[in-house]
Amino acid sequence: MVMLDNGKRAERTESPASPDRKPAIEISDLVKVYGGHRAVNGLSLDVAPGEVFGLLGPNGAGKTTTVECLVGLREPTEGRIEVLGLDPLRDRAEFVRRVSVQPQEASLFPTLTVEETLRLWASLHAAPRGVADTIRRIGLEEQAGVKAKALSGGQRRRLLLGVAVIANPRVLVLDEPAAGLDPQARQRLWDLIRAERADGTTVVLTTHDMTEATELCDRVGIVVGGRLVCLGTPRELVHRLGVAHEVSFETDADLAAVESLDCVTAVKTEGRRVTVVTDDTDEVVRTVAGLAARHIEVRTGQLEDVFLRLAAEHHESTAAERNGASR
Amino acid sequence: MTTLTTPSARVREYGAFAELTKANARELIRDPKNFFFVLVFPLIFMALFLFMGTLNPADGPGGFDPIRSGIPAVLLMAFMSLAFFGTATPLISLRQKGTLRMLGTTPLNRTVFILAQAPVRFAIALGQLAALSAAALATGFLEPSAIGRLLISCALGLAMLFALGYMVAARMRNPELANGVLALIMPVLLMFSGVFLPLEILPEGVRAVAERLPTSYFADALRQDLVGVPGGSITTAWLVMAGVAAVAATVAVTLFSWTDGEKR
Repeated sequence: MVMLDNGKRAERTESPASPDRKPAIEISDLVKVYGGHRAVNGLSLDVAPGEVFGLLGPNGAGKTTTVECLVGLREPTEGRIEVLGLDPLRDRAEFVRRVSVQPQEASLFPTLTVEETLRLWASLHAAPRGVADTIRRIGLEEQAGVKAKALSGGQRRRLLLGVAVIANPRVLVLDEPAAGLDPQARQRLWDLIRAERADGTTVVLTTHDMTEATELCDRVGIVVGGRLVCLGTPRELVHRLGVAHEVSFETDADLAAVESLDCVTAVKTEGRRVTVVTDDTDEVVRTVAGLAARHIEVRTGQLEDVFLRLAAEHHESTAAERNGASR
Repeated sequence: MTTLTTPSARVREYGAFAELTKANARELIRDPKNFFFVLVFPLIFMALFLFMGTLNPADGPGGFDPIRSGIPAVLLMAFMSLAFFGTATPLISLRQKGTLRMLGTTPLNRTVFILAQAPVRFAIALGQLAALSAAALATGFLEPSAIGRLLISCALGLAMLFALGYMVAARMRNPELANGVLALIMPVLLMFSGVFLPLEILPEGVRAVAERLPTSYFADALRQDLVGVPGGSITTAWLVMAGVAAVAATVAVTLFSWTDGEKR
């Protein structure tokens, strides 16, 4: 994993591909400018074949623009993109045979049923999955004969996912696939993405959902202000960014043994309740066990903490830049 | 887009063409707005002309035969509705909703996509032509010997109107605006084509422009072939329609975009 300095040009990052395997996706110094606004500002990353990669970031961070450039729906202002060795624009005919996309917003033919829609999309591809199998994968068995315009928002998103996966692609790009899905449908989506990974498909998805990113993604990249500010496995990011873990318990004993631990960064007490901030919860738990501690609770740092911290840092630096410019 | 030549690619394109043709037929028939403008609207006008025929029969005062005028007028209007409201507007709507953008991320060849719109529309046009030709035969306006010529005129006229419809739909993304513009243009074209009113009543300058509109050549051919009204050179009309169809189709294919903004 390589951490990137916020505000600097993103450096080449390593994907977990073995040295002799070419990355499935290579993005180098991607810049996309709309009017005067740099929606994406020098973003570079690699995604290994068969990897599930999550692109996280607050609204307006540049995730969707990155994904749209990645699949050739937008032309980069600067930079280079290669997917399976193909340029999304110059090698369009070959590219669309291997890469499928579920956009964030799109509607299908409103008067076609779920089954008719999938049959149509299957006909566009050389070696598609079966229609019945795809309907089962997206969990719309009961809506197979329902017209697209009569589906609920979540069902429509599942159908959009269906038209992407029916292509049986080698690379699947999903823009906010879980938006508007109920918990059951979201679970099905996760199962579907896991099944895609098991089939060897490379998956890139954007999400706001940290649980989803933690559960599904081999690696995540956090995009803030059009820049990739960090990249790694969810666990690595939590560890590397020093997101605090906490052990809390109740005790009447002396806390000197806990306070003397190297891994402890703070000890807060509130009546008998003690909260220890640490980067090694195991060691703290072992120590407090000898203090006749009760009601021990461990809260490990979450990807969400990383995300919120980076977003807040970006917000502060942007505000500082604005203040500096206005003086 | 690269033309695919391998046998498997060709088989796939036939499959895509067949499925898209079915999808287009379903969209056209199942959408109430399309259904009304393409199939019901011309029938209302035919009924109106028939009603006018009962009020003012051909041998009545005024010398105006509503049925003889109405048959080509209704057919031209039906074809225009099919090309504009039944083809251009739904395409623009698909672009606005992002459906074309989705299709643009698949191996679908855009020529296949455009061609797949044709079968159901030509079938509807053929049905409309058959119904109005039957009416013209029954009233004795259409000579059986003119049917071959009528078919050529209709084929060229339809090709021209569809090409114009595709040209309008090549880039636009606002179906409401397109509907408004087309709803304004269509009556003007019909009025200037002389199917509702004789061109002689128009001022000299306006008449000169009206006579040179491509749709006026189609209207003239229909009047001659369908109801036996004398007119201009049919060869000239065919050449104009074929020329406009070729130019508009070229422009449409060149400009056609799956997306609603940035060029891919």
